[in-house]
Amino acid sequence: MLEYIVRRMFLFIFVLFGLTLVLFFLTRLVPADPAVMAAGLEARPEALERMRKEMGLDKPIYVQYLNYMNDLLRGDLGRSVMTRRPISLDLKERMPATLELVGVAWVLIVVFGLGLGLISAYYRGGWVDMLARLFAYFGVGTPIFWLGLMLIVIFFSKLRLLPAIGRLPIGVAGPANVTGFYLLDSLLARDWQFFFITLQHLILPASSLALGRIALISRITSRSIIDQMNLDYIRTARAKGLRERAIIFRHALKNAFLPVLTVLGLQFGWMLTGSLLIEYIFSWPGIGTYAIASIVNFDLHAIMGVAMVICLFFSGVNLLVDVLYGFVDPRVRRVG
Amino acid sequence: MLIPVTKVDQTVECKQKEETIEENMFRRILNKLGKNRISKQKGGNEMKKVLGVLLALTLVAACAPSTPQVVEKEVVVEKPVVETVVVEKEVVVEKPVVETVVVEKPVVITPTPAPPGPMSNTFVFAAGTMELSCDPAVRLGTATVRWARHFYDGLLQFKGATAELEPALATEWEVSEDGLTYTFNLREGVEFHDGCPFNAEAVKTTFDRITGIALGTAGMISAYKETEIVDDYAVKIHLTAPDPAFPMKLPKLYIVSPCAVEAHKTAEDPWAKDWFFDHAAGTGPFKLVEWIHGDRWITERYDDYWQGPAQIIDGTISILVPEIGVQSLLLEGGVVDFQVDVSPEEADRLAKNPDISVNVTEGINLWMIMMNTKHGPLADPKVREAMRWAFDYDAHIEYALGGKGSIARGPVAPGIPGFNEAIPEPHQDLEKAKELLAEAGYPDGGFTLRYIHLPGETGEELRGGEILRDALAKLGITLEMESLLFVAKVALFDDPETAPDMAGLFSFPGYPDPNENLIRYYRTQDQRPAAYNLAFLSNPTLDDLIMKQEREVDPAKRQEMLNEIQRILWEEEIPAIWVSVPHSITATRKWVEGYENMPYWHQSINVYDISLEEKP
Repeated sequence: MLEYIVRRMFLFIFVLFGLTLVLFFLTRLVPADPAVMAAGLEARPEALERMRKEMGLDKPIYVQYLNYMNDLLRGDLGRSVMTRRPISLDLKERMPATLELVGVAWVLIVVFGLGLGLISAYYRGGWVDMLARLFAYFGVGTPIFWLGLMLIVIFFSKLRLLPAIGRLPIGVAGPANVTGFYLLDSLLARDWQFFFITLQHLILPASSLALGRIALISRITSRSIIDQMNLDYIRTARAKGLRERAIIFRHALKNAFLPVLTVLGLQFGWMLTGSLLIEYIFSWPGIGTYAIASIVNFDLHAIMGVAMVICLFFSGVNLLVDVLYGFVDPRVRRVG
Repeated sequence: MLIPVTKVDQTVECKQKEETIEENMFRRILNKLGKNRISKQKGGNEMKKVLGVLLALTLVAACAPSTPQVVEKEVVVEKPVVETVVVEKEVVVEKPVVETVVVEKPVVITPTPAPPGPMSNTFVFAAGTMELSCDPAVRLGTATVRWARHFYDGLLQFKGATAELEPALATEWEVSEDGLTYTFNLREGVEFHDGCPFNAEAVKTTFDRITGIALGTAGMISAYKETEIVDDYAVKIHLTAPDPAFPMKLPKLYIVSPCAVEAHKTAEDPWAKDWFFDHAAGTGPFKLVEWIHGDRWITERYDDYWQGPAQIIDGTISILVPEIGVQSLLLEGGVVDFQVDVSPEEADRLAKNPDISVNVTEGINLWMIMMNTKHGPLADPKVREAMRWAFDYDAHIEYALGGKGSIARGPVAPGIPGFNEAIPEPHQDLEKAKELLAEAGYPDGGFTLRYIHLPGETGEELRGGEILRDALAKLGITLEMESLLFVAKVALFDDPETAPDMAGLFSFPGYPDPNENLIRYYRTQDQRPAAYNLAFLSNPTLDDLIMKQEREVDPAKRQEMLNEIQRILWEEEIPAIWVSVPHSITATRKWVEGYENMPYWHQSINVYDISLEEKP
């Protein structure tokens, strides 16, 4: 098992290296001049030339790449043109917001995705199943962007139940910053009101992010359970005279969960990228809005930084799932 | 647990919400679900309990008070006392779906008058773009200009919404006959936010700093030579060449505190650029409290402002809301007071809301389609003129601007002093276009043009392109459209041979003078990568005239030159289809008083004149 993990980690480093290569040259391929954004659209040619020099853009591209890698290996992602601060610092500050959003969305997916899948499998063929299926089609087919806007229109504009944007109400300062995760920070401070406020602000963006995936997971779960129900061991259980409920909960569920686990892990990574759009709509101060701003402003190093961090998390979660798999499924453990 | 008094109303509101149709429906569905279960078998009770509890939790979370940390400020209010309210909350979901869940909210009894909302004295507005620097000496992009007016003053300012100048930090000014020296008498008793006195030294430091940093803003005062300190409250600014537009630039050349420059400069950074990037030290009506990059900035009132403290008592907050549709929803929801980026469609919708004022005024920004004058069919001026006749201007104003804009008359917006009145309003005439095409050797069209526009489904550049495409189709010409971000778009125009045939382009004058419409767009030296002459226009007479008018002191002579420049561009060169002058549209809550949409300030807000007395 340990060997497997080490091997995966090793591979991971190569993936990251490849990523820097692809990203670096891709961003440089775009026929635009980052110095223009840095110096201002109204800058005169001399000012632009100076800015190019300052940003190291006057050097050959391979030298630029080597310089970048040299900094990267020392943990330096470079400086952002937008914020003039180290990109690692920007990302460190913004990452908790995104992770909190994605985390809550993920919990929603687990709870509702598995729940709906269960219900659907339990009442398979019945109208509840039909309804769940309809919901799944709707969920998978709804563009995340449209859904976010609709949720704001319904729950903020019409019903006035939930806030539309941000992590906190305007004019309210964050809790004492311990982790940057407001839910966690407010729990640590035992500030229940703050906890509720944070939760309120999370409901709409997290639901928009989660809905499509709830639909997906519920379908996979239900399918997986139904597949299990046709296997011999379930037939044996039925023959023993066990009740349907017991069969599903005690026997089928455990085995049906395996494929779902893989997808759940992948979803976490996908949601990190999905959060780009959601953060844009909900003015969420995470890495999604940061990424969009860096693209619009052609902040090359910031674009690279965000992409690397997302990749890092994506691969990390994948690794984690694979390792978890080994624990959950003895068959994998034996092979691995 | 005592909930802040302000929250009482909301709890009541939430209680009312409990009886909504949606919830009834949900309850009925759950109910049915339960019956269904009973008729089938008895298992699965746990599952429904879980569902029920989740539903209850969601409701509780939704109904929890929204702002716990009220901004701590003692405010004396004379508002009617809210009656004692007893709130008891109960979420009852019918059996046998789940057990009855009773959630109790604490009873709040309040003998004190209800204070206004925590934001009632704060001006909140949403901005769609992220500020790239707070330093007015570095760049004057839209976002920077928008917030600089909170913190800084110039020597002069525009009078209200007009292009007329009036004293600000300078009380009097005069220009020497040769146009090379401007003398300013300065206002006494003005202090910067950091306590530094405003005087001649401050003016000198500011101008030296702008030219020393030599980035964006410096482009505006390329003729600056030096500042001579006459005495503490009088300066002479010497120029290397006359610049009749110099006074017009002064409202946006913001004076910074020399003490702050002195205190924060370093050997590598002699002008304290790093510090001013996200700090402000001016004389303006508000002080910068905090700037959270890419999220919001917060200001507080500067009580010692030289014109007297602003009417907004607490300060202002600007939040970044990239999606314009959401900005409007926030305005309608009363979360923000002001929306600066309003699309024409949104304007119509918002105008129907009785709580919102939509402020539409004539703009000075100009939108045009630049044409490659060096390559392909458009190299022939006759074909370019045919393009001008082919374009459907009325359709554009209707479709792309929702009627909120006027048809451009040449390269200078009519709202800018110096506009050539002789230039007519263009209109579509396909016959005329056909004639011109035939003369140029393309009687049936038969060629393809490539047009680059900015992304954005409702954007003017996309819609303008669609209108052009439809019109050109009637002339047998195909228009290929391509969408690119601004930096990538202009970068395509580095070489006339490989550059696209056409590109949409906005001209945003930084100050109301024809310079801003002419320099950077039509001179030979403005070709890429220097500036935005995407037409590759190169006409020595024109170059010469544009440069001469910039230095002409005699207003009559200058106007003559300006007229000639506009005529050459309109009649002879036709490097662009000048399409529209979109109106400037903003929207405010009705409780915002004293706001005026001032296109000459280019989207900045007259925060000082605003009051929020009616804001709840």
